[in-house]
Amino acid sequence: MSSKENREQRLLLFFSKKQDYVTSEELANLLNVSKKTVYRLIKKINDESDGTLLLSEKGRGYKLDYEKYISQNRLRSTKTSHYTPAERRKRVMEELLLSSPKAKNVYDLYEEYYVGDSVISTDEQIISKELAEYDLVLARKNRTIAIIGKEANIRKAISDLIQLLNIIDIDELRSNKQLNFNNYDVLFVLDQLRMMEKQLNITIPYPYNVNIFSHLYILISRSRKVGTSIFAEKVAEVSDGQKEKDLILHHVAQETITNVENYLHEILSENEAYYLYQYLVSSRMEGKETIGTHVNFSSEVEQITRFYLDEMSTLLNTSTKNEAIFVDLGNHIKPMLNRLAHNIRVKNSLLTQIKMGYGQIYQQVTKVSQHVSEKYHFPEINEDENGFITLYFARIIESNQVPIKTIIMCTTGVGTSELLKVKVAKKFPELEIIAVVSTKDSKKLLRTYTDIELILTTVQLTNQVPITTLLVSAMFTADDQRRLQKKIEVIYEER
Amino acid sequence: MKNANEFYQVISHCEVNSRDDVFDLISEHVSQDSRFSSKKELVEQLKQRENAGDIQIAEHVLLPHIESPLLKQSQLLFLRLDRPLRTWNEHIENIELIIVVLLKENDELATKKRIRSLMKKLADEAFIIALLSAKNQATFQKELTEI
Repeated sequence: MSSKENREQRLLLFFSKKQDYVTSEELANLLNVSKKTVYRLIKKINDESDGTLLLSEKGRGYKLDYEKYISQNRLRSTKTSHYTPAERRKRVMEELLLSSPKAKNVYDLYEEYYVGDSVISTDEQIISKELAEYDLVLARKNRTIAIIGKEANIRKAISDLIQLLNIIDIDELRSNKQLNFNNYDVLFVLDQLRMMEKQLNITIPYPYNVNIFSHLYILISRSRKVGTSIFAEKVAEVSDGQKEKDLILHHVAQETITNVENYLHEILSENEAYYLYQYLVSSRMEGKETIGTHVNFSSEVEQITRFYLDEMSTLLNTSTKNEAIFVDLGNHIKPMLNRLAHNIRVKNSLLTQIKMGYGQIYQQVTKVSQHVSEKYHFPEINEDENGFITLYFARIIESNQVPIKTIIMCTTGVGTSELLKVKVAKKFPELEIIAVVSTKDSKKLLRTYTDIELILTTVQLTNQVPITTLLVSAMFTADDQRRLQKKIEVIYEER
Repeated sequence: MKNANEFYQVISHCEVNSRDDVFDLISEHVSQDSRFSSKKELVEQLKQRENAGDIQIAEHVLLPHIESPLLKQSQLLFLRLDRPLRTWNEHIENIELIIVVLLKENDELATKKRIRSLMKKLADEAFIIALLSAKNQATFQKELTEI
């Protein structure tokens, strides 16, 4: 994505979060551009959208017409018949990558897009630039073009391209029209994923499942388009010691590759099982063995997890000393270290939102990650990884809110209030229930507990109390729960 | 059919057609030992409680409850209706079980504890379903053994 498109997107994202007027000065600061550029950007966004998306008011600045924004987004995502220049380039590049190093006829390649030679020539320049990031070259010879470069780089480029589509639900792949995917291959690979999960008795969560999917899908498409002979080239050294490290994973990888071989009716290079193993060992797995236990953490994983927790705890000025948090983050760090070792990048499609929503935490995580790389001699921990880690700490902060001291009341203090206590405690862990009392004891109690923030009652209180009060039914219906959630948000905001 | 347990009584096969029928039934079964000057007084208190806040605790289940100095001992009544009571009030309908809690004012802690443990169980949907679907008095009693 060019930086201009990026700016527009950032601007819209910022507005969608803000939901209030923002001055052009603030926007200029945010994007680090001049006020003039901001005016131009806003004009462009409004010109390109159906009606005025960014409303302006003198003296107050700009505000997003949120409903229009949402409805336009929906429109855009359902539009499939017509390709934007960026989409066209993406599809051409995908086609070329999949058949690399074979050359393709330019006119065949562009047949469905109805564009002239000058457009094709511009496309070539832009694609060349993008390919350069992967050390790949776009070679033009008469009327044909081809992508030339190392197999590992080609696969990496395809994988990034697929992940650009921001697929979150892997089952979406079955019916995704944006992709040039072969539906049989998609179903086959999804089956393989499921089988691996079953054999290992785990689930592979997003985005790791998408990553493994891409890997296998690319392997199949490449084998079919260009044959398997070119894959003899070694992408990484395979040491026996590493192979032994996890026999079960290796076994499952081997079996899956055998399935792929049968599917393709071709023999694949020996390396393939090891590549797949690398992906497996670099994925977070959720299952009986990983949840709530850290017996299988190596001392390195343990040290690095503690390092993140300790450093972040100081930077954020909040406590992270909690076994559950440790296990959770450790289960992320463990495969992350494998990803770093095997040079596997997992695209973080939420990165822009993470940076925007948790900017401060993200920056601090980046800092700590740099220390980790230096201290433990790891390659640089990239933006995508820092984004993932940020989410763990964002969650810690959100759940670290001091609980709301709450009293539950009814006429007797042992009737509906006691019943409500159990229901509330189950659904709202953010409430600390100090006492369950009868209405007649309430005055005395409020004198004793001066720091009460919320009273939940099943009976209408006759006396005014200076504390937030919510009348709920003993049934604790969905409506009651919604109203309580709102009250909790208000209390958090007022703190 | 009555149950001998002094703390709670299970009354099965109740035939009631209205809210007033239910109140009559409650005052009939309230311990003779109470100091209410009239049945009306007890019913009045129950109604007052209900005016302050709904007493429905789950689908088909009501929990009328009061605490009063006029009660000489605390009491629990489980009224099992043979036919559901179609309407209780404007927004409560189809009642099949009524659990009445009559708490003597400042009763000893042990009693309050027993009531509390019942309330905790009532917060569990599975327990409510078990009570509602109990085929006979014996199965119903069995569900209550813990309290």
